[in-house]
Amino acid sequence: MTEASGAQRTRRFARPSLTTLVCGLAALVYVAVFIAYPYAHVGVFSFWEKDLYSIRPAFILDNYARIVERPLYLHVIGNSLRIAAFVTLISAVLGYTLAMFLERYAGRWKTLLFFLLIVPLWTSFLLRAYVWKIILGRNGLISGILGQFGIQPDDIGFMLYSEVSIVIALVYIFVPFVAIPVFAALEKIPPSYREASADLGARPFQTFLDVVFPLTVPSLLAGSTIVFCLSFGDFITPALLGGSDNIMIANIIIGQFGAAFDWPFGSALAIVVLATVMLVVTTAAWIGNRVAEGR
Amino acid sequence: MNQLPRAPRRVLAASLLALTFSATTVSAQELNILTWEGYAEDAWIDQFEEEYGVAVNPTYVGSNDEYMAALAAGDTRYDAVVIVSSLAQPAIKAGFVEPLDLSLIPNFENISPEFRKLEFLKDGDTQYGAPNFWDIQPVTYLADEVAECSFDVLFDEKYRGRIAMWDDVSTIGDVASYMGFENIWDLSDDELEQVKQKMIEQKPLIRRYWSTGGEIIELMTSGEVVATNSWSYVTEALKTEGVNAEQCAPERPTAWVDSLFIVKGTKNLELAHTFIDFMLRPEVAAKVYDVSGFSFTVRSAEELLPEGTLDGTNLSEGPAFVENLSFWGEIPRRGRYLEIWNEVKAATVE
Repeated sequence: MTEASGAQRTRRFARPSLTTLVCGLAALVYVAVFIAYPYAHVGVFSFWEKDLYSIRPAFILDNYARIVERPLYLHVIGNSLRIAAFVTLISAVLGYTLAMFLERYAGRWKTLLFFLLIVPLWTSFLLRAYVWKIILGRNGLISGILGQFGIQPDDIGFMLYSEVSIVIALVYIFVPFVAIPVFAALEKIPPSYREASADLGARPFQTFLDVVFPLTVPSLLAGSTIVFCLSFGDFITPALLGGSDNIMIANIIIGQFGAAFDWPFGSALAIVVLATVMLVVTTAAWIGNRVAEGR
Repeated sequence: MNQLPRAPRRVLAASLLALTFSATTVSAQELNILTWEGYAEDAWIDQFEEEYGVAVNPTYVGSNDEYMAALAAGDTRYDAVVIVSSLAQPAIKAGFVEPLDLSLIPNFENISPEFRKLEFLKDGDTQYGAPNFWDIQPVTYLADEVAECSFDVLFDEKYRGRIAMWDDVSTIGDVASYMGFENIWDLSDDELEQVKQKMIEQKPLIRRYWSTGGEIIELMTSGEVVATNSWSYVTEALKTEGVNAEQCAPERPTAWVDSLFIVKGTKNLELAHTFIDFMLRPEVAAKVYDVSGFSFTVRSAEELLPEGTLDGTNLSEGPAFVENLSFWGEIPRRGRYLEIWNEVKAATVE
């Protein structure tokens, strides 16, 4: 390191620019107001106790004990994890394929198709889930088409109000969350990388595996993480499209804050869910990074 | 701000102006009510708005717990609220509602005596709720699909995958009553477990646990569901849509009575009283009956309906029928009931 750059460094530390200060402060305020404060509240509530229609400050572990003691809660958390994992896996594969197609093969349609991918994001989440009620319903589009071939609505009854319909709707909603970042990563790979790989005798698939894919892993992971978190915590889709046994953890939590008026118990559930998500996401990221480095 | 191009700045200024303008033109004379579909239809709300020159904003609830949660959270947007029999005492005790000034509600006298004397609407001698509609919880069914109606239909293997149940704790009461339990709102753990098992057995037949009237109406209009425990309003609304729907009383029905209450601390105290008085007019009760099929407490409304309308309904039964009904009572262990309900929903059966 030269003396000049060392001096420059010291100076930068000693006198941070106004921009750095403002940005840092903004980030700090953001974290404090939108993350730390609300979560701290939820954390504190989870030790309180409820009395009919009021809640009282206390320090009790009953709420957490109830989560462990009654099989309902861990069972539903397990269910939600399974659904979220399914949705994430399917969205990752579909989203990646879609991004590959857009970047490599869409040609002059690229802009239009990318636009079409974004358009649904402009409409309300509720609407995007609700539309599947119409598509999958008894008098819906799919049952109409199948009816032409003599298939009765009763034969395809599994489609609406089931885990299948929840997964379909969530995948539909979340595919862009994977496709968009992966597409951006693919576009950034200079053509020369592929050419170099081909010059060295690699077949296209090998090039993809050894050159292209590792460069897109961070985007794929980022997209998949968002999909996992959002689908794990979703309550609208299971409420609209779920059947009699597709209750997800967010539905129970929202019930604690509404119907049951048990904020302390709802908070304890939320904390457990938060911890579960963090654990899953950290593990997945760690494995993902190992895979990417291993290549 | 300085860097904004001129045109957007003008737009911004214009929209700010529009905002201020609209904020000031909306007068204070607005009545916000927390109520059910069927209680706040244009047919009589428009009349109230015109007569008193106010705007009524109804917010619909999907379950009884919903308005209690809103009141408990200290939501002060609402002036009046409809509260069901089982939650009347908790709401009064928790201080969510104002006592009624009966001198502002002359039509309170229209209410039949058997409803005026209901203890759970009072605290000592002070009246808190004005009971206006009641019903038994019927079974609604599609007459073309279901031949004979009773609560048994909801457990009939023939209708596998075509049955629905209301997503509400009161459904636990319906099933408990059907199973022959007496103290349906205060079941022991052991009894609750039996009800839960019965409902889990029923699950393969269930298409959906519905939460709003609109939802079950849609499910039955599309033929997705053929029978459900329900509200008379649902049957009426289906008939209006031209669906061949009918309803019947279960062998051991549960019954509820809804009453109008005034939310604690409302700024429109007098207007809220006026609204309650208006709802207790015989002609308004008759209109609500026409739309919802719910039984009224204002007996004189009967004279305004075409002769024979009430034949075979709850209202043809006379006061003794009402005195013998046990209206939905307070559920002391509400949280436990809800937990059982969630356990039913989370159970997987093949």
